[in-house]
Amino acid sequence: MQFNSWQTFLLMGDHGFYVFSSYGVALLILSANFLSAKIQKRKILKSLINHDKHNASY
Amino acid sequence: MITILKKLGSPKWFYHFSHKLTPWIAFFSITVLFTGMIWGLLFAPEDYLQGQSFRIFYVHVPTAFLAQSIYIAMAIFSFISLVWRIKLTEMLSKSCATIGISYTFIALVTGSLWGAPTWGTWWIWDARLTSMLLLFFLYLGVIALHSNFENRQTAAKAAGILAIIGVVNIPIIKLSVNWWNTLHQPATLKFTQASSITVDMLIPFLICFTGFSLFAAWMIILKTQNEILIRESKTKWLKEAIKNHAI
Repeated sequence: MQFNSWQTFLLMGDHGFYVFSSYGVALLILSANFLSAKIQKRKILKSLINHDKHNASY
Repeated sequence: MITILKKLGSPKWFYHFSHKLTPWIAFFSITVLFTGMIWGLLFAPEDYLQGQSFRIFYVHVPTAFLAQSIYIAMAIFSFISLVWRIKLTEMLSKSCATIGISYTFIALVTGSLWGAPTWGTWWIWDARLTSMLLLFFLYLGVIALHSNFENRQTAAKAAGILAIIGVVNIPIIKLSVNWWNTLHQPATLKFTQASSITVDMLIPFLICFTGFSLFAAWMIILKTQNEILIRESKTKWLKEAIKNHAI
């Protein structure tokens, strides 16, 4: 462990803003990638199932 | 040989195979990435020159490196699909673009956040930064071409050609720090010689790099599966799989 208190960890030797924004941006973009893929899949499956039902009713 | 290639290129085979693989890749990419990031934030030593801001390295370098690797992969997939008309590589190529542009964006933003305290500037128009920005726009172009054509094949062809031409930019990014004297430092990690980095910085870097690589593979698989669901929606195997909830 490089830090002896929460405060020194969050301060990051006065570079806290830069360090935590970097990690934050990375995590944000990664989560957005994952979520958009999952949402897209749900949408596709929904439309496929609806389409099938629609065809069957004729 | 040809039968093996045909099997590998079949969307059905890819879907079933990757469906079994995804839980593992998901698990490992998340655990490895978190381990690497926590190690980089908490346990890696500070840099004697840059202090704590050096921790940005563990996000910046893996994403910047992978942004270029994914671009090359995208171009190779495009080339294969243009020459041999394989559907699967066309879909893989399209899937590379989203995670590729994401990594390029992360590399640009973290680079800026690193430059501000270290160089005293957020941005300069030097060769490395400009060629990296060009990579971002190349990805953007590929994505735009994929989504702006009515005909999916025409779109894939146009996007593929742009992707292949854009490969020229990759060696420019790589060598820009050697050709021009800039603020950006030359590579610390080298394949051919000993790297100028201590082991306690190298280990968290390698863990982060593995994590980001696995995450990229995971996202490419998810995106390709979605693409298969759209394009193969009329096939029998997919209809049966949906009916049996095997998707």
